Amino acid sequence: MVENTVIAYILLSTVVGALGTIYFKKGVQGISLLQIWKRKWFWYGGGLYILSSVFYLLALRQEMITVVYPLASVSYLWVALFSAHFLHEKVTVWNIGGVCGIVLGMILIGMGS
Amino acid sequence: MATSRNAILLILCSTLFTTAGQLLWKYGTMSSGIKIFPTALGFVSYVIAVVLMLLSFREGEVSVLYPFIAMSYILVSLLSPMLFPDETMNVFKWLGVGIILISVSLLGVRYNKNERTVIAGG
Repeated sequence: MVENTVIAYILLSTVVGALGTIYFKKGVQGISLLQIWKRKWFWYGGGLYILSSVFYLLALRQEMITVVYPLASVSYLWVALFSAHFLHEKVTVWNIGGVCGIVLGMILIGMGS
Repeated sequence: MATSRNAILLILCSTLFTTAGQLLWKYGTMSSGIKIFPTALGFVSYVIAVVLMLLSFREGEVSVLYPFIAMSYILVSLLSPMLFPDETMNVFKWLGVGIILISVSLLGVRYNKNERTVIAGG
């Protein structure tokens, strides 16, 4: 199975990264791509992404990328939850099906490592 | 909005840069220290991938483009055992990657409750 520290790093990386995605979504709403650097949400989101990458790299040092990279897809689950809560986006049957599938995929990855 | 051929090309390039970024990060972290140059190059590769992805979303449907993004899981799982001796794949991991690929593609689909139709994009 996968070591606890690796799981912790992946969790930290994906939650922080998902938060960064939410900030980013807020930052790029209703503005042209060339202007986004003027919005604070863009910079907060970018900072969170960098922090997320650091945690990801820490996980990568201890475990195979063929385990860490697929497991990091749990970030889609966090983005769906955060989008529903913070941005009031609807949770569709496709969201639910998709995240259930990702969880199933992650269990299989865990079984294979 | 229909998905233009340009959008497909952009997202394919984006996926290549995502994959390259991941492989560079792998190379940068696989020894006991950390190799700064490959890791930094990996960051650059990722930034390029994100820019290309955002550009592709302007010209195409997210629901069509998401599966291409998810293809990076396949590419990384295929290429890293070839490039790095400490990487292995097995049936469980391939099944996991396959299900994740399908699931991520599903996440790109949009459902319009009023029309009860599946609309592409968002």
